[in-house]
Amino acid sequence: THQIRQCFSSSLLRCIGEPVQTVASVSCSWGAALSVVFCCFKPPRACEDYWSEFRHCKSFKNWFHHYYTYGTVPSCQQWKEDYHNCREWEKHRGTEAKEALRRSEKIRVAEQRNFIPVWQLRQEPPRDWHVPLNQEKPQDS
Amino acid sequence: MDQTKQEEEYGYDLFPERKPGEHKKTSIAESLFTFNHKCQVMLQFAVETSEYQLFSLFLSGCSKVFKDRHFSCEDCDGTVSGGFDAASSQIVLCQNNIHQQSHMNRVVTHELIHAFDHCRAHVDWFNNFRHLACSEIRAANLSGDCSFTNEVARFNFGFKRHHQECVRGRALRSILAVRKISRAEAEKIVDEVFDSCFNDHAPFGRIPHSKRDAKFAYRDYMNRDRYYANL
Repeated sequence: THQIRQCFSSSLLRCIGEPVQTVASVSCSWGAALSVVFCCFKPPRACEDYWSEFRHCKSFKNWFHHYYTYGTVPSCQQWKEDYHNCREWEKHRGTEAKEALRRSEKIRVAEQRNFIPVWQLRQEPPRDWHVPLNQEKPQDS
Repeated sequence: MDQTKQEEEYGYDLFPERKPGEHKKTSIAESLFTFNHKCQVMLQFAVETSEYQLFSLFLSGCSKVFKDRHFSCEDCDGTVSGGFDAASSQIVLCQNNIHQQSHMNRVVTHELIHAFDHCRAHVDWFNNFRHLACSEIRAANLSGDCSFTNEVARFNFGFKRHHQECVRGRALRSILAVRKISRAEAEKIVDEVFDSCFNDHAPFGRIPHSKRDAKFAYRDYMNRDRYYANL
């Protein structure tokens, strides 16, 4: 039991401080399983980030730029809700809060990708990006 | 295609110091009697701004942008401020047409967006007008070219949704400056790709109107691993 407890607390500490993927690499059994159940998820952004996005959204400058660009007033309510869900998850680790956050962020990602690209993306950068212009002249970096 | 025709077709005639496929080093005499030195100084300031630092991180596969390799101060024709030469992977800055630091900063950002598109996508600069139009729309949209203050300085006093009108107009101008097509044709191409390209905010994730927008875009970029892992 002592070993399981030790394994659990070390997994938990690692999980809080590190990306989710590393949890799976922890090799101890019950402790790891328990810690995965507890901390497989972190809010996509830090809670303070949600709050600062909300404040930025509500600012006059942002209102001005949004109206200048889109002809409409910006809608900021979602940032506030996300902030509350984030704090809610921190306090009680509820699935509702977690799912609400995930849903909201997935909508944001979909909005960012809501267009058909005109070109094909590269797999690798262009080969001649770093090729020197003159073969005989050494390039300074 | 002979050299002169190629120069005119691809806009190289605006950049007389730049022949396609050749590279000329600035002589000392040229440095003394042109605006070359002033351009170099302003460029140095521009690359030290935080927006530039941020942007060079974003430059996708072209992991580093070197001032000496990827920028060139030259004399240009007309009123053009700069350009991106895909053939030599260089950003051209028009030393005879850029006289203020704020203008330099804006031109550098504008051309970096072209460089960014070149690095992350198969952009056919020379033969595909839709690709060219798309990159120009993005550059006008995301570089601050069409900010309210810049438009007012040009005596364009629009407000509601004016940003989009400005982006359209400037993209059109840029295309007409470097390619020999009719205005009607250019307008048609811009209209075709506008919705797609205006909504492509890579790498910022938003239209950076202010320093705070740029700061938050940087924050999102640094947080991207955690963000996508927890969706």
